[in-house]
Amino acid sequence: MLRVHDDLYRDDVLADPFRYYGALRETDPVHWNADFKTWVVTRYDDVSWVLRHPEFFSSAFYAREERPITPPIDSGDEAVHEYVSAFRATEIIQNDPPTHTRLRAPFRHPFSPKLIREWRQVIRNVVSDLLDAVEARGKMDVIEDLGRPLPLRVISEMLGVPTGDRELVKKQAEERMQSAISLAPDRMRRAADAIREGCEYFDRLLGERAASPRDDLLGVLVKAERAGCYTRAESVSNAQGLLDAGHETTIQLIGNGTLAFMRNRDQWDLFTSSPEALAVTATEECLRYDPPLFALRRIVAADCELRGKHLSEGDRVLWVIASANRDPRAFDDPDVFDIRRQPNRHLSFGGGIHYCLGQYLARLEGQEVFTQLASRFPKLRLETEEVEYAHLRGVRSLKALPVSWN
Amino acid sequence: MRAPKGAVTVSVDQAVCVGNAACVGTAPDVFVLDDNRQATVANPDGAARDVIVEAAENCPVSAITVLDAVTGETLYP
Repeated sequence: MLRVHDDLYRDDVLADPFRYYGALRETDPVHWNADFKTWVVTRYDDVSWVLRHPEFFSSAFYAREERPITPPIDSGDEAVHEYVSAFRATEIIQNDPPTHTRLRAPFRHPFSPKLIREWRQVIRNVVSDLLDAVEARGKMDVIEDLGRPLPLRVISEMLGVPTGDRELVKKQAEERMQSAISLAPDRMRRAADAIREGCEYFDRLLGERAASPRDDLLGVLVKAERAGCYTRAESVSNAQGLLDAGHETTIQLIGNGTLAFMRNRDQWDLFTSSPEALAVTATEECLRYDPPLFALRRIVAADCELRGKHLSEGDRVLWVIASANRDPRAFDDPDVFDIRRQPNRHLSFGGGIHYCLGQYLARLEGQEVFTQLASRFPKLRLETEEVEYAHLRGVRSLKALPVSWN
Repeated sequence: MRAPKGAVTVSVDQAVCVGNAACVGTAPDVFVLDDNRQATVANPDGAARDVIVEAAENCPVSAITVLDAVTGETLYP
């Protein structure tokens, strides 16, 4: 049996999670990683099972986790770590029922496909503006010129963040995300500073919204407060949570998806022949093939058995989307990028009660980006074959993706 | 036999369905998940017509088609 090492933060694992977790999937699908003290679940069926049993697999990681943080943070930052944890613990996705049910309820309707569909034209216009800005240049960085500005502008507009504050909010979001995805020892301090700023900012904005109601997501939070469903601390935290969730992941969908197209020229050529007709299945395939989040975690809430292994209360569980989406038991030719693949039951949005709230919004953003790129720049090509990933956990985040089209 | 007024014909495209179960949440008497976690229609009369149309509108992969059972008119998409 192939011996698989346990260093999940090694460069080769972060740069190519498909290879590493794919090897685990085939040799030890429910693997105990002794270094990280976590179970690593890599098969499609098992990941799907974990997602559908929140009674065994808790999302309340911050509330339940008592072991020291890994990798370590700067000494003296224990208090800021506690502050960040207390803040994160009030986010929708960090909770189990019944709190999770209560916090998620107000957003069910605003994030339903029916209402999100009304944002399609806004998304289309933003993509179009961003491409107008770079067209004459003949080249761009997909991450900086398209991936970063698009989702932020859309989610800011949905929330009701004033146009003039977008840069401020973007900086806060980028710093705040450090606590979740960075491996650097100063990550908690940086996140804490941004969270403090963000809390003050959104507290003020929510106050304004309460005084003069508007039909946006901050308005939804204000209504939830009035109904006794949300406390002010919860709405301040979840306003930032929505911003972060709608931001970081969509950047990866756009970057990793465009890269997949460029590395599979036949699929790009096929796509440019009729982008509108193929936009839906192509976006699903981008989501499957190189998912924005490649692994997430749970914590065992009650002892259970999985594939003959005994999981005990308090054990950490890493469920790996990157390997589940490439499981040959679930997909034909899983390593082939096939933009007509159907059905495409990837797990990139998770599943069960925590199924990504913004999944339909992300889909629309992906569809609009890829369609317009293909219609306007069919000759799109990579400016370099050497792409670099940021040293982050859980996300495969391109540092840059330079392309040209003339 | 003619379909009663207001009745609908509902179908789920199995090639498209990803088992999200949003439809089951909206109209649990109409849609069920089978053993493969694919949505199927258990009873097209299990909910009011606008509820069924709403379930179709909120399918994240647009797998559901709803027709007027009498006129054949497409109600969704």
